[in-house]
Amino acid sequence: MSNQFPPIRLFALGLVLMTSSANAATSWNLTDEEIAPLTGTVVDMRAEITGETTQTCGAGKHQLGIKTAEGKLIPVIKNAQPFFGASVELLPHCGKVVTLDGLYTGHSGYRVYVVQAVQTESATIKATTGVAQWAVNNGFDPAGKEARTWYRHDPRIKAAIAKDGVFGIGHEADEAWLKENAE
Amino acid sequence: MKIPVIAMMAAFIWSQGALAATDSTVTLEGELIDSFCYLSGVMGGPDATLGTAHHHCALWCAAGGVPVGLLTGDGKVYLVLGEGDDTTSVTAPGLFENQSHRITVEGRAFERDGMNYLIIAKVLKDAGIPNHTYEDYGSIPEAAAPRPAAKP
Repeated sequence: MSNQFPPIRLFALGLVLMTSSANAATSWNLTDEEIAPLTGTVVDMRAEITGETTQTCGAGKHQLGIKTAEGKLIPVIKNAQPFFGASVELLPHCGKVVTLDGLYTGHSGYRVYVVQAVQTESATIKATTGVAQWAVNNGFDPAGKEARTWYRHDPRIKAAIAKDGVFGIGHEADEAWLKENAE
Repeated sequence: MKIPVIAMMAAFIWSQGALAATDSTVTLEGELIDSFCYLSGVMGGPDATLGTAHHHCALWCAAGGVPVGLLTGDGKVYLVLGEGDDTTSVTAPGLFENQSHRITVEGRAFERDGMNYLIIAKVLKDAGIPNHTYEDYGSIPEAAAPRPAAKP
Protein backbone atom coordinates (compact mmCIF):
# COMPACT_ATOMS: atom_id res chain seq x y z
CA MET A 1 0.00 0.00 0.00
CA SER A 2 1.48 3.38 -0.94
CA ASN A 3 0.94 6.36 1.28
CA GLN A 4 1.18 9.65 -0.54
CA PHE A 5 0.38 11.79 2.50
CA PRO A 6 2.49 10.67 5.47
CA PRO A 7 1.93 12.20 8.91
CA ILE A 8 5.09 14.31 8.62
CA ARG A 9 3.61 16.08 5.59
CA LEU A 10 0.32 16.66 7.42
CA PHE A 11 2.32 18.06 10.34
CA ALA A 12 4.29 20.33 8.02
CA LEU A 13 1.09 21.62 6.42
CA GLY A 14 -0.34 22.27 9.89
CA LEU A 15 2.74 24.30 10.81
CA VAL A 16 2.41 26.34 7.64
CA LEU A 17 -1.28 26.96 8.32
CA MET A 18 -0.55 28.11 11.88
CA THR A 19 2.33 30.40 11.02
CA SER A 20 1.10 32.04 7.84
CA SER A 21 1.76 35.76 7.93
CA ALA A 22 -1.14 38.13 7.40
CA ASN A 23 0.86 40.25 4.99
CA ALA A 24 2.51 37.77 2.67
CA ALA A 25 1.37 34.47 1.32
CA THR A 26 3.27 31.34 2.22
CA SER A 27 4.03 28.43 -0.05
CA TRP A 28 2.08 25.23 0.50
CA ASN A 29 4.09 23.38 -2.14
CA LEU A 30 1.01 22.75 -4.22
CA THR A 31 0.77 21.71 -7.85
CA ASP A 32 1.87 24.45 -10.25
CA GLU A 33 1.75 26.87 -7.36
CA GLU A 34 2.03 30.61 -7.97
CA ILE A 35 2.13 32.94 -4.99
CA ALA A 36 0.49 36.18 -6.04
CA PRO A 37 -1.99 38.72 -4.69
CA LEU A 38 -5.42 38.83 -6.27
CA THR A 39 -7.34 42.10 -6.48
CA GLY A 40 -10.96 42.41 -7.51
CA THR A 41 -14.58 42.47 -6.44
CA VAL A 42 -16.00 39.72 -4.22
CA VAL A 43 -18.81 38.11 -6.21
CA ASP A 44 -21.34 35.30 -5.94
CA MET A 45 -20.05 32.73 -8.45
CA ARG A 46 -23.49 31.37 -9.27
CA ALA A 47 -24.98 34.80 -9.84
CA GLU A 48 -21.96 35.85 -11.86
CA ILE A 49 -22.18 33.01 -14.37
CA THR A 50 -25.97 32.82 -14.64
CA GLY A 51 -26.78 36.52 -14.56
CA GLU A 52 -29.02 36.05 -11.51
CA THR A 53 -29.13 39.10 -9.30
CA THR A 54 -27.90 38.97 -5.75
CA GLN A 55 -27.20 41.51 -3.07
CA THR A 56 -26.11 39.14 -0.34
CA CYS A 57 -23.72 36.63 -1.95
CA GLY A 58 -26.09 33.87 -0.88
CA ALA A 59 -25.79 34.84 2.77
CA GLY A 60 -22.95 32.39 3.23
CA LYS A 61 -24.52 29.54 1.27
CA HIS A 62 -22.97 30.22 -2.13
CA GLN A 63 -19.48 29.78 -3.49
CA LEU A 64 -17.77 33.14 -3.78
CA GLY A 65 -14.96 34.32 -5.98
CA ILE A 66 -13.15 37.35 -7.27
CA LYS A 67 -13.94 39.28 -10.47
CA THR A 68 -10.93 41.26 -11.57
CA ALA A 69 -11.04 44.71 -13.15
CA GLU A 70 -10.58 42.97 -16.50
CA GLY A 71 -13.71 40.89 -15.86
CA LYS A 72 -11.92 37.61 -15.21
CA LEU A 73 -13.65 35.32 -12.72
CA ILE A 74 -11.36 33.48 -10.28
CA PRO A 75 -12.79 30.75 -8.01
CA VAL A 76 -11.45 31.14 -4.45
CA ILE A 77 -11.96 27.68 -3.00
CA LYS A 78 -9.82 27.37 0.14
CA ASN A 79 -9.08 29.41 3.24
CA ALA A 80 -6.02 28.97 5.47
CA GLN A 81 -7.48 26.39 7.86
CA PRO A 82 -7.56 22.60 7.54
CA PHE A 83 -10.36 21.36 5.28
CA PHE A 84 -12.16 24.71 5.17
CA GLY A 85 -13.44 26.66 2.19
CA ALA A 86 -13.05 30.35 1.43
CA SER A 87 -16.57 31.71 1.08
CA VAL A 88 -16.80 32.32 4.81
CA GLU A 89 -13.74 34.57 4.54
CA LEU A 90 -15.05 36.53 1.55
CA LEU A 91 -18.68 36.95 2.62
CA PRO A 92 -18.12 40.03 4.83
CA HIS A 93 -16.66 41.74 1.75
CA CYS A 94 -19.44 40.85 -0.71
CA GLY A 95 -19.56 43.39 -3.54
CA LYS A 96 -16.43 45.19 -2.34
CA VAL A 97 -13.00 45.46 -3.93
CA VAL A 98 -10.36 43.64 -1.91
CA THR A 99 -6.85 42.31 -2.37
CA LEU A 100 -6.23 38.74 -1.33
CA ASP A 101 -2.90 37.33 -0.24
CA GLY A 102 -2.63 33.76 -1.33
CA LEU A 103 -1.72 31.49 -4.18
CA TYR A 104 -2.94 29.91 -7.36
CA THR A 105 -2.83 26.18 -7.90
CA GLY A 106 -4.24 23.62 -10.30
CA HIS A 107 -3.52 21.36 -13.23
CA SER A 108 -4.97 20.34 -16.57
CA GLY A 109 -5.60 24.00 -17.36
CA TYR A 110 -7.70 24.66 -14.24
CA ARG A 111 -6.61 27.44 -11.89
CA VAL A 112 -8.10 28.08 -8.48
CA TYR A 113 -7.07 30.38 -5.66
CA VAL A 114 -6.25 29.74 -2.00
CA VAL A 115 -6.72 32.78 0.24
CA GLN A 116 -4.48 33.28 3.24
CA ALA A 117 -5.44 36.88 4.08
CA VAL A 118 -7.90 39.54 2.95
CA GLN A 119 -6.72 43.12 2.62
CA THR A 120 -9.36 45.82 2.84
CA GLU A 121 -8.89 49.57 2.86
CA SER A 122 -8.58 49.56 6.63
CA ALA A 123 -7.18 46.18 7.66
CA THR A 124 -5.53 42.92 6.74
CA ILE A 125 -7.53 39.97 8.02
CA LYS A 126 -6.15 36.45 8.20
CA ALA A 127 -8.34 33.98 6.32
CA THR A 128 -8.83 31.88 9.42
CA THR A 129 -12.29 32.81 10.65
CA GLY A 130 -14.14 29.75 9.36
CA VAL A 131 -13.47 27.34 12.20
CA ALA A 132 -14.50 29.84 14.89
CA GLN A 133 -17.78 30.39 13.06
CA TRP A 134 -18.23 26.62 12.78
CA ALA A 135 -17.68 26.33 16.54
CA VAL A 136 -20.24 29.00 17.36
CA ASN A 137 -22.76 27.46 14.96
CA ASN A 138 -22.29 24.02 16.51
CA GLY A 139 -22.20 24.97 20.19
CA PHE A 140 -18.45 24.58 20.78
CA ASP A 141 -15.86 26.91 22.26
CA PRO A 142 -14.04 28.59 19.33
CA ALA A 143 -10.78 28.22 21.29
CA GLY A 144 -11.51 24.68 22.42
CA LYS A 145 -10.05 21.36 21.34
CA GLU A 146 -13.15 20.45 19.35
CA ALA A 147 -12.65 23.53 17.17
CA ARG A 148 -9.01 22.59 16.48
CA THR A 149 -10.19 19.27 15.06
CA TRP A 150 -13.58 20.53 13.92
CA TYR A 151 -13.80 17.91 11.19
CA ARG A 152 -13.93 15.12 13.79
CA HIS A 153 -16.81 16.79 15.62
CA ASP A 154 -18.98 18.06 12.78
CA PRO A 155 -22.42 16.44 13.20
CA ARG A 156 -23.02 15.96 9.46
CA ILE A 157 -19.68 14.22 8.99
CA LYS A 158 -20.27 12.02 12.02
CA ALA A 159 -23.70 11.07 10.70
CA ALA A 160 -22.31 10.22 7.25
CA ILE A 161 -19.55 8.04 8.74
CA ALA A 162 -22.02 6.35 11.07
CA LYS A 163 -24.16 5.51 8.03
CA ASP A 164 -21.62 4.38 5.41
CA GLY A 165 -18.25 4.15 7.15
CA VAL A 166 -14.98 5.94 6.48
CA PHE A 167 -14.55 4.50 3.00
CA GLY A 168 -18.20 5.17 2.20
CA ILE A 169 -19.04 1.60 1.19
CA GLY A 170 -20.17 0.16 4.51
CA HIS A 171 -18.62 -0.63 7.87
CA GLU A 172 -17.53 -4.08 6.76
CA ALA A 173 -14.89 -2.52 4.49
CA ASP A 174 -13.59 -0.35 7.32
CA GLU A 175 -13.40 -3.31 9.68
CA ALA A 176 -11.67 -5.52 7.13
CA TRP A 177 -9.13 -2.77 6.41
CA LEU A 178 -8.48 -2.27 10.12
CA LYS A 179 -7.96 -5.98 10.61
CA GLU A 180 -5.56 -6.15 7.68
CA ASN A 181 -3.62 -3.08 8.74
CA ALA A 182 -3.57 -3.63 12.51
CA GLU A 183 -0.13 -3.02 13.95
CA MET B 1 -16.86 40.29 -48.81
CA LYS B 2 -19.17 38.63 -46.33
CA ILE B 3 -16.54 36.18 -45.13
CA PRO B 4 -14.11 38.78 -43.70
CA VAL B 5 -16.98 40.52 -41.93
CA ILE B 6 -18.13 37.26 -40.41
CA ALA B 7 -14.55 36.42 -39.48
CA MET B 8 -14.16 39.80 -37.78
CA MET B 9 -17.41 39.26 -35.90
CA ALA B 10 -16.27 35.80 -34.84
CA ALA B 11 -12.94 37.19 -33.68
CA PHE B 12 -14.72 39.87 -31.68
CA ILE B 13 -17.05 37.36 -30.06
CA TRP B 14 -14.07 35.08 -29.33
CA SER B 15 -12.22 37.99 -27.73
CA GLN B 16 -15.17 38.63 -25.43
CA GLY B 17 -15.21 35.04 -24.30
CA ALA B 18 -13.27 35.82 -21.15
CA LEU B 19 -16.09 38.05 -19.98
CA ALA B 20 -19.08 35.83 -20.66
CA ALA B 21 -20.01 32.35 -19.55
CA THR B 22 -21.24 29.95 -22.20
CA ASP B 23 -24.28 28.01 -21.04
CA SER B 24 -25.57 24.63 -22.17
CA THR B 25 -27.97 21.98 -20.90
CA VAL B 26 -26.12 18.73 -20.34
CA THR B 27 -26.32 15.19 -19.05
CA LEU B 28 -23.03 14.24 -17.41
CA GLU B 29 -21.67 11.16 -15.67
CA GLY B 30 -18.77 11.44 -13.29
CA GLU B 31 -17.43 11.26 -9.77
CA LEU B 32 -18.21 13.89 -7.18
CA ILE B 33 -14.82 15.06 -5.98
CA ASP B 34 -13.16 17.33 -3.47
CA SER B 35 -12.05 20.06 -5.84
CA PHE B 36 -9.20 21.43 -3.73
CA CYS B 37 -7.51 18.14 -2.96
CA TYR B 38 -7.90 16.97 -6.57
CA LEU B 39 -6.57 20.16 -8.18
CA SER B 40 -3.91 21.20 -5.68
CA GLY B 41 -1.86 18.04 -5.21
CA VAL B 42 -1.92 18.61 -1.44
CA MET B 43 -2.63 14.90 -0.92
CA GLY B 44 -0.31 13.63 -3.63
CA GLY B 45 -1.37 12.69 -7.15
CA PRO B 46 -4.93 13.33 -8.34
CA ASP B 47 -5.79 9.62 -8.42
CA ALA B 48 -5.21 9.38 -4.68
CA THR B 49 -7.99 11.90 -4.10
CA LEU B 50 -10.65 9.82 -5.80
CA GLY B 51 -12.96 7.05 -4.65
CA THR B 52 -13.02 5.32 -1.31
CA ALA B 53 -9.46 6.27 -0.27
CA HIS B 54 -10.40 9.92 -0.06
CA HIS B 55 -14.08 9.67 0.85
CA HIS B 56 -13.63 10.70 4.48
CA CYS B 57 -11.46 13.72 3.62
CA ALA B 58 -13.91 14.68 0.86
CA LEU B 59 -16.64 14.82 3.51
CA TRP B 60 -14.42 17.02 5.67
CA CYS B 61 -13.81 19.47 2.83
CA ALA B 62 -17.43 19.53 1.65
CA ALA B 63 -18.61 20.23 5.19
CA GLY B 64 -16.01 23.01 5.38
CA GLY B 65 -17.38 24.64 2.25
CA VAL B 66 -14.75 23.66 -0.30
CA PRO B 67 -16.64 23.42 -3.60
CA VAL B 68 -17.68 19.95 -4.68
CA GLY B 69 -16.57 19.09 -8.22
CA LEU B 70 -17.71 16.65 -10.84
CA LEU B 71 -14.90 14.80 -12.65
CA THR B 72 -16.15 13.33 -15.91
CA GLY B 73 -14.64 10.52 -17.94
CA ASP B 74 -12.91 12.92 -20.33
CA GLY B 75 -11.00 14.49 -17.44
CA LYS B 76 -13.08 17.66 -17.25
CA VAL B 77 -13.67 19.15 -13.82
CA TYR B 78 -16.89 21.06 -13.14
CA LEU B 79 -17.20 23.14 -9.98
CA VAL B 80 -20.75 22.55 -8.74
CA LEU B 81 -22.61 25.72 -7.81
CA GLY B 82 -25.98 24.24 -6.89
CA GLU B 83 -28.21 21.21 -6.88
CA GLY B 84 -31.92 21.08 -7.62
CA ASP B 85 -34.03 23.63 -5.84
CA ASP B 86 -31.32 23.95 -3.22
CA THR B 87 -29.05 26.75 -4.34
CA THR B 88 -26.85 26.43 -1.28
CA SER B 89 -23.89 24.86 -2.98
CA VAL B 90 -21.65 25.23 0.04
CA THR B 91 -23.75 22.87 2.10
CA ALA B 92 -26.31 21.22 -0.20
CA PRO B 93 -27.22 17.91 1.47
CA GLY B 94 -27.31 15.95 -1.78
CA LEU B 95 -23.82 17.00 -2.71
CA PHE B 96 -22.45 16.37 0.75
CA GLU B 97 -23.84 12.89 1.17
CA ASN B 98 -22.84 11.78 -2.33
CA GLN B 99 -19.16 12.65 -2.05
CA SER B 100 -17.02 10.20 -4.08
CA HIS B 101 -20.14 8.71 -5.68
CA ARG B 102 -20.36 8.10 -9.41
CA ILE B 103 -23.47 9.94 -10.47
CA THR B 104 -25.29 10.87 -13.64
CA VAL B 105 -26.82 14.32 -13.60
CA GLU B 106 -28.86 16.67 -15.70
CA GLY B 107 -28.11 20.34 -15.42
CA ARG B 108 -26.64 23.50 -16.84
CA ALA B 109 -22.96 23.64 -17.64
CA PHE B 110 -21.05 26.88 -18.03
CA GLU B 111 -17.56 27.65 -19.21
CA ARG B 112 -15.81 30.84 -18.23
CA ASP B 113 -12.18 31.87 -18.13
CA GLY B 114 -10.97 28.31 -18.53
CA MET B 115 -13.12 26.87 -15.74
CA ASN B 116 -16.23 24.70 -15.99
CA TYR B 117 -19.20 25.21 -13.70
CA LEU B 118 -22.29 23.09 -13.19
CA ILE B 119 -25.71 23.70 -11.71
CA ILE B 120 -27.29 20.30 -11.20
CA ALA B 121 -31.02 20.15 -11.89
CA LYS B 122 -31.50 16.49 -11.10
CA VAL B 123 -29.46 13.41 -10.17
CA LEU B 124 -30.55 10.73 -12.64
CA LYS B 125 -28.48 7.86 -11.30
CA ASP B 126 -26.30 7.19 -8.27
CA ALA B 127 -23.95 4.23 -8.59
CA GLY B 128 -22.45 4.66 -5.13
CA ILE B 129 -18.65 4.46 -4.89
CA PRO B 130 -17.38 1.86 -7.39
CA ASN B 131 -13.86 3.33 -7.32
CA HIS B 132 -12.25 1.26 -4.53
CA THR B 133 -8.99 3.21 -4.37
CA TYR B 134 -8.46 2.25 -0.72
CA GLU B 135 -7.18 -1.08 -1.96
CA ASP B 136 -4.18 0.76 -3.47
CA TYR B 137 -3.83 3.86 -1.34
CA GLY B 138 -5.37 3.01 2.03
CA SER B 139 -6.74 6.24 3.43
CA ILE B 140 -5.72 9.61 2.02
CA PRO B 141 -4.73 11.33 4.24
CA GLU B 142 -3.72 8.72 6.79
CA ALA B 143 -5.37 10.80 9.51
CA ALA B 144 -8.72 9.99 7.89
CA ALA B 145 -8.24 6.22 8.17
CA PRO B 146 -10.74 4.05 10.06
CA ARG B 147 -10.08 4.01 13.80
CA PRO B 148 -10.64 1.08 16.13
CA ALA B 149 -13.78 1.42 18.19
CA ALA B 150 -13.08 2.88 21.63
CA LYS B 151 -12.99 0.23 24.33
CA PRO B 152 -15.64 0.65 27.02
